[in-house]
Amino acid sequence: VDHVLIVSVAVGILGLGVLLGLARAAEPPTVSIADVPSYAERTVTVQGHVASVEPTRSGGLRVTLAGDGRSLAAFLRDAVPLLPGDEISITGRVAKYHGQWEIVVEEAQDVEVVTAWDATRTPVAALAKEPWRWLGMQVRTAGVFEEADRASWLSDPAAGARVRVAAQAPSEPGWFQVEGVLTYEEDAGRFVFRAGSWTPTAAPGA
Amino acid sequence: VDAWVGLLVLAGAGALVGAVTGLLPSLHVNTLAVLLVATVPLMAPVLLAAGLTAYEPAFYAAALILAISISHSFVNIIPAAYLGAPDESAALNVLPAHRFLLRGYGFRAVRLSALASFAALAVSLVLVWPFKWLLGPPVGLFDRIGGILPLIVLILAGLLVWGEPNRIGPESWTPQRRRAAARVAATAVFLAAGAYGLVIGDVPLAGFLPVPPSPLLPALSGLFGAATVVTSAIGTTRIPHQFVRRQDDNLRASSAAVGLGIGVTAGATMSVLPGLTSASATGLVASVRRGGDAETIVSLSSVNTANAVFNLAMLYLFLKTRSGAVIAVEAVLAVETWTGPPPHGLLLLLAVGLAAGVASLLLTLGIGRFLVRRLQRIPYRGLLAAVLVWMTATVIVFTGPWGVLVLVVGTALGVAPVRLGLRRVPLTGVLLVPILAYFWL
Repeated sequence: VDHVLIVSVAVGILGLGVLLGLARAAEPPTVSIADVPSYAERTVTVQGHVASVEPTRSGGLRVTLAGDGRSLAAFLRDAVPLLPGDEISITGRVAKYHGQWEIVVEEAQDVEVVTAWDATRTPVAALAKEPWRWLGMQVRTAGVFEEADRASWLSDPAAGARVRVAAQAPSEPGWFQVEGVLTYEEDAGRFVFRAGSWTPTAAPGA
Repeated sequence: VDAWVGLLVLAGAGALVGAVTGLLPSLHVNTLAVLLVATVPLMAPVLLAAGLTAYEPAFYAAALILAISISHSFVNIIPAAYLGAPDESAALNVLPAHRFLLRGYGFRAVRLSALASFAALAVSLVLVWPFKWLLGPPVGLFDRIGGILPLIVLILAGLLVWGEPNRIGPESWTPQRRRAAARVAATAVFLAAGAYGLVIGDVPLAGFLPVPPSPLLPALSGLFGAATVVTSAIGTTRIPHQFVRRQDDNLRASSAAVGLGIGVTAGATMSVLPGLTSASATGLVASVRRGGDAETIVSLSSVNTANAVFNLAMLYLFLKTRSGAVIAVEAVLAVETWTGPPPHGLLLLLAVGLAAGVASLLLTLGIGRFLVRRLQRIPYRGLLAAVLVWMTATVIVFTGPWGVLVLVVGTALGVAPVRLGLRRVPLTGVLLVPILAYFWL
């Protein structure tokens, strides 16, 4: 009788059972977008802002998630009501698709909207500080319209921040609630807020 | 500093680091690569101070990672031969190399392996071009096999299990019955290792370093490293006198060429198939060819080094990452896809790989010769116990306390086939079953 063999088989079977129990009880690790490639073929939870949403032919969604100055593709097998700007938490398997890392989310319940997109929560200071985060997204913000340095600006005097705005600006300076899209001009190397609508509003605290 | 001198210095430094990781059982180059990626931002001032400014810090980091992975694939024969404690890529090399040691020719195994690794490196560097033509235009094999990759992996898994050459069971059984028993047992080991591979991905590991914990570190350390050390400790009490100059057999040139050819082909094939590491490649080689111990060492050592080169080629050709080291290269470097003439970055990295290979050859021979003379003076079981302590400490640091449980279970599973009289190849189910599950479930 090979006692070493008996012990190894017993430890192997018992240990597999314990590991299975541990694995079932454990929540998937929450990882940053930058660390996702290190979790290939494993199930993880990732949090970030929705930068874009596209429906797929199979009835799912292809989502670009942004965070920490990086982006990550996510494939959602079930369509979930999402908007660019939503802060979401998704749980899915890390895989590669056409040479790029992505998260494959099997069920709608694995998508949680942490903070629904609310344009009024996008201050000018946030647009000025992290423009890449809002790039291409429909954003609603509020600030003072002004002409300075031979350009048009939307500024937040309290925060000392401003973003450059494109044409179709109002004729009078003042406080406005503005809805539009933040774009990047390659040639000039700058971010420009293309405002679609300008609604006069009172200054905060007025 | 001149650009080429800088790269040569880096190749030498990478070879030294790779020699350390290759010597330390369970510290795999993939683990080190993750750490290196984390330190890239800190490298810039060091590189600047050293006058290495011809290329971006990210490129130097990528070159360093490549040099380390090449050197590691050379030096890891030393613990495999002298301690019976390989990392996963040298796992199947351990028995032939360890048999050399028990006959007094441990250094002969190390020398054979180092020369085979260098020959494989040189051949692979040349074959990178035909590799491109075969997989990309004009042949375009990679796109053609894309749809049948799962089938190929399944056939490979079948080959690994049903290629079991041993017989087990009572002597009173017929040879056919004993062979069938071995295959059934190998299948059971394959499935158990596969179940283990499926489960460990979801075990909550948390190490003490700011790097993502990989379940493969404790798993492969257990299955192939600790299990082999435990087996060695049970079966070996003392090491016989080691001959450094005398050779016990002469490997015929034709056998060496066949071993090299099989090894390089297997290394290239495995860089194409998803998720299969050199452990699987070595398993495949062991299934298709059963030469003598010397030829086996040549072919298995060739697989690992060739695989490191072709993995880099796959990154540049198809942006595919087939090893932890290449994932690390991709993480730090903006890779330019190889469509027309080879990208300048790839050529430089291949040159660094060759320089690291020369340094690694010399390091492996030097360290191997140095250590084999001292091996007999050290209490062998004490040394093996120290190796087990080292492995456990590494696992705790990188994966935390639950990693130790993964290590223990892996060790138990790894000991079983050896005690049953089977090869360890079916243990590669730990990698293959999760891949098959990914394709079909």
